[in-house]
Amino acid sequence: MNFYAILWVGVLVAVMIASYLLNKRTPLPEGCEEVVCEGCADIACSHNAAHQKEE
Amino acid sequence: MKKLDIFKKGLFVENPIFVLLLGLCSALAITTSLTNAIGMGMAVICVLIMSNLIISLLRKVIPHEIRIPVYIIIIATLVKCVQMLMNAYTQELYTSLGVFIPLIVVNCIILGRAESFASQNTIIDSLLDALGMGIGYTIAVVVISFFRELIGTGGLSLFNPFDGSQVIFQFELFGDYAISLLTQPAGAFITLGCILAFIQFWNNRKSKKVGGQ
Amino acid sequence: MGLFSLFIGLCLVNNVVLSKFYAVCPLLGVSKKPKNALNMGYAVTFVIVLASAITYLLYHFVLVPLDIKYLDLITFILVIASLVQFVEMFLKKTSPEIYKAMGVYLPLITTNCAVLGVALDNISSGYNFVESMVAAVAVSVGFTIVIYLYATIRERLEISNVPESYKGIPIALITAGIMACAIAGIAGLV
Repeated sequence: MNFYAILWVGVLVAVMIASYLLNKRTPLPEGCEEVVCEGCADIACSHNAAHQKEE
Repeated sequence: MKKLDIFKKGLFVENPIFVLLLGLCSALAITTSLTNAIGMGMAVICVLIMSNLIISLLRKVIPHEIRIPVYIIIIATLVKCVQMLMNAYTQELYTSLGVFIPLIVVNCIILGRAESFASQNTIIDSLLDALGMGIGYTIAVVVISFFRELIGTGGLSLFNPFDGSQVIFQFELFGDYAISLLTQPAGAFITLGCILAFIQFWNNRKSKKVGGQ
Repeated sequence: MGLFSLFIGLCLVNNVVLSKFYAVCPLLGVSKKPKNALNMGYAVTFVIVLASAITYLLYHFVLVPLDIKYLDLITFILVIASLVQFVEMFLKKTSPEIYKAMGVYLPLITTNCAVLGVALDNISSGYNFVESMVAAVAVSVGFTIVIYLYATIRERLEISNVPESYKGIPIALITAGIMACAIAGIAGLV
């Protein structure tokens, strides 16, 4: 088992989860709350209106 | 029967390509021939089933806040495994599908089903949903490539994916009158547009009949 | 192949939307108003150029020396996702106006086939760093041109006389098909 592979995937996963959490915790600047993207039916997109309903 | 409804929903009523319009990138690009379409459909079914299974098994363990990155990691690993298996066992299919096998990762169908269904339902339900959606995707892609290949090259052909030289069927109806525009990228858009128009026409007729009576 | 013909080739002749079908989902979803389309184009340009640079450097300086080339897909998608999160955080903190204009499209770009597709194509075509950068800029300029033209056409389609069963997405797809025909006519340029 290649040790560097596991280490590298661990680094990437840590960076990704850290950036995702930091971004989620940063509040929107004022005046931006009403901007909603109706881009596509992508349910995984966090801006999709379907997410605002469930939270 | 509720279980059968979950399975049938993905086939026609909520068909991922014709109704939900997800994953159009791959659907337009690989429908130049029937062999490619069936091969891609098989790959998507594999990835969908395994990703729904794993995410449904882990749904109580994954923290709710970081669920989207975790889904992306799981799906990326599965797609890479499928890509390496296809490189090993189905060599011709791998070269003709090209870059669209890794692009299954960003296919909105898989992430969408994981987020909206597999993270909230039991294992059996998630499996049925994945099977339904995958077969619906395969049906849609086969329909598009049927028209594109038949009218575009005048014939149909299907090769064994595991052994590219073995022909399952191959016939040619009209070689001289084929509209080869349909094998070009422009033809993909036009074919999908006409199929969606037909589906809209069918739905309008059904709702007019129901409304009229 | 010179850099200029590479640019023209990826921007017009092999346009990434109309002949390789990379960014079709945002094309159909975001292009109702030309101004929104232009903002989407700016966001995509920014992300594609940054992502191409970072994925190229990571591939050649981390994955190849450590002999873990099979982790390229996982590396690229995680790098692109974290990059989008960082850019969104940066925009939220420094410039609310730009965030209001184009920040909403940033999460949409994570699952955009174009970013991952360009990164993978750069690796499989064996470009060096300058060629990868030119390819990234060409792809995003081509995407912006196409989505802007497409938005202006769709604006006019809303008020024109379309047959009943073609209204909405079908006529939009056929318009894209005609645009693809037009682009295919430039095929002999490079």
